[in-house]
Amino acid sequence: MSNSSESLISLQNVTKRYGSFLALDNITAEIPTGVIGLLGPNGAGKSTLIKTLLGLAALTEGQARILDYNVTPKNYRLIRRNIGYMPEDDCFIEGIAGVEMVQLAAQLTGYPPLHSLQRAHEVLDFCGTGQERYRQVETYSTGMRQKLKFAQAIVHSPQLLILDEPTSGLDPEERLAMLKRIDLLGKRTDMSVIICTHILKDVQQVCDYAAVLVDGTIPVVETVENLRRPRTPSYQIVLAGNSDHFIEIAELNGLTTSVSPIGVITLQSSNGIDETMIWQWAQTAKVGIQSVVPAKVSMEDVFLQIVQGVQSGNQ
Amino acid sequence: MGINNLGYRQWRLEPKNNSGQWKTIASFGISVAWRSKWLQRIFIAAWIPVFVMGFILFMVEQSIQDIDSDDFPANIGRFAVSGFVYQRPEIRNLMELTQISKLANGVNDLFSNFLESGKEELGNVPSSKGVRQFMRSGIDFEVKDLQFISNMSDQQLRAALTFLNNKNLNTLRRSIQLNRRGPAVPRYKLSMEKMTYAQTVAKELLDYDLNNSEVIEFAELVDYLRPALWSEVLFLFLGLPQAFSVIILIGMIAPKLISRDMKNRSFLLYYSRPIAPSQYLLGKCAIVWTFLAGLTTMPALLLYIVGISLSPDISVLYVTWTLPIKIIIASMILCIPTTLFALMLSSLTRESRLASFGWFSIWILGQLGYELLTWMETEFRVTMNANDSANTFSKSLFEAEARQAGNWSWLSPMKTLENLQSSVFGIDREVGNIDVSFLVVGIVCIICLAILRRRITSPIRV
Repeated sequence: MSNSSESLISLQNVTKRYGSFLALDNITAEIPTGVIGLLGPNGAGKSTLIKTLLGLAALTEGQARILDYNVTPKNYRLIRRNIGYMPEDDCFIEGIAGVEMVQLAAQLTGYPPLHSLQRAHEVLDFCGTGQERYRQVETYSTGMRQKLKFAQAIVHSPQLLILDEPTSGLDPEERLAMLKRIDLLGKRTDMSVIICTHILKDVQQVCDYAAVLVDGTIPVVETVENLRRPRTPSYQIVLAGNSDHFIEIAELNGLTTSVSPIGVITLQSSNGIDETMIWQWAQTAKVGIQSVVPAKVSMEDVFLQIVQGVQSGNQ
Repeated sequence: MGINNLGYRQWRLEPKNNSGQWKTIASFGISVAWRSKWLQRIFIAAWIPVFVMGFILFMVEQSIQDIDSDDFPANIGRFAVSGFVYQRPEIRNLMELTQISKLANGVNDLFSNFLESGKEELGNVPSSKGVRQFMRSGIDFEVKDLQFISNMSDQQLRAALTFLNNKNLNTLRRSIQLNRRGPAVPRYKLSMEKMTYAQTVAKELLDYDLNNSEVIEFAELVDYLRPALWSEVLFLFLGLPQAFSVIILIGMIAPKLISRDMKNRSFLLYYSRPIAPSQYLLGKCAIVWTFLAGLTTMPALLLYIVGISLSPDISVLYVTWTLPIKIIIASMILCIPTTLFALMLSSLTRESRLASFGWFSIWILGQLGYELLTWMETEFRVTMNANDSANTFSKSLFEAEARQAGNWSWLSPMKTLENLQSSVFGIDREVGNIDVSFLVVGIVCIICLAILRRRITSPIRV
């Protein structure tokens, strides 16, 4: 099980420049273990940060530490041995079958050929790749290649799995299956997972933490739970029956109400809401309650608020 | 879900902490390349010369084991081996010097007879054997001739050099005037170094009169020349048929190795693993080298083993033990620069077809450039000697001289590599300056390595 109290990645004044372009701007952040969503608009520096952590791009300034290893050339081999990386790009090794590509990945990490082959079959089973594993990789569809990239990333049981846009190009069914696999790895193994994605629902669904990268900085590293908690305490309620009387009672008790087109009632109060009161009001209004849950802000809203906040601050 | 699906299982096996990942890249690359049917066919075809050369070695050994036999293959073997022996530069030079010895002995006998009987008898004046005669009966040297040559002073050698060069020039003129077929290659042209070397050979040969017959017989001569003859066979093997196969084989394998990885962004998959760019490059080189070793080093070593097993006694090992080392060095000379060059071309483009095109173009253009400039040099030599009656008798002589001078051989990759291999085997087949060949290959290797390093580290050099 993941231990969220430890720091997975520690960044101290990390700066990365490409010529005059500043990709990472003096980032200082602690990213905990668990399943982390790395969010950010296009060009925010997500890929650069990942490449820097993998040792594929050298730091310009600052210090980075990942899995208790300082990110220095001396440790690149150790770091890469303990990290599984699924690139966003459509990349593969031409001329070999899917199972061979996964086997090759295991062998390149330092495992013997026979064990690697056995393990390759194991992870391909886990990834839902059937007999197509014996076909040459260049004949694969985008979705199959995504699964293959995922398989090669997890084949060596890394301590940290970095997934760059893992669900892009997948149909809805495959997307759900992929998220399930990520969730399983994050929740039931010691593996930490970093997901770089634009699909915020994916983050909402599987991530424990979200780190938002904007303009080369990380202004927020927080649990998804906390990020989605509204500033004003709120509840979302679905009633069985006419809700007008219930809304009247709630408003008389000083709550702000709103009703969505599909009938979900949102109750807000800056003084807090006692959940038992909701049940009492429903009894008074003689309506049944189908569901009552604390209201949450969508990740899209959270993300936009953070990005706009940083960008307006910069201006 | 497959019946073997275990879900996800942590893998507890510890990876080996070694630097052998290049072997993994190589083994996968080899297995992928070997799937090509065309490659398999070419590889098998490239082994055919091994059997031809093996047969030649068989003839060499057969010809000296049963020297008096007129049966096949001993007589045919002797004929073929005589050809080999006859065109060895040290033997040609020694035969030239032997004529001086015979001439001197003949004149001596002539004066003796004249003084004794007062009659002029020409019966003892020697006549040199013709090439065909040599080839029928083999070549031999009389011990007294060799002793005469061994005792010649530098001054006498110099005089002999002048005499032989003039004689050869006249022979050449006569042969060309008689429209003899084939170009007049001025291999007879002697230098003082060659004369001195021939004298050394004469001294060494004196130790080979094992049966004290006062004649170094053909078998004894072949015994003496065995390392050189085997080197000739191996050079012939590595130089012509194998070099051609190597060009085709590299052209089929190498251009894809890096260009495809660039096209498919495979670098991200490689470099996210604990491997360094140097290991990646070594792995890619090893793919090509494995196939090349299968075409050059392995068959050549096999030939050597065949030669040893056909030899009359184990002492052959003592005189030929350097040959396996020479085989390996000559193979490396063929393989390393060609592989680096082909991989460099592959790293310059994402389209492997362009790299293949570049590879074959370089060989063809290099050879064409060499031929063109040699032709121009020939024309220049003809023009320069237009008024010199001694040198205007044949254009073919000038062409042969231009080829022998080899001023443009560095332009042709084939000639350059041949030169280096000839130098390794020590068989005196180089044209032009061997140092230039070494320099050209060295510079090409360094440039290729620099470009390769830059290209394959570009995905992580940011």
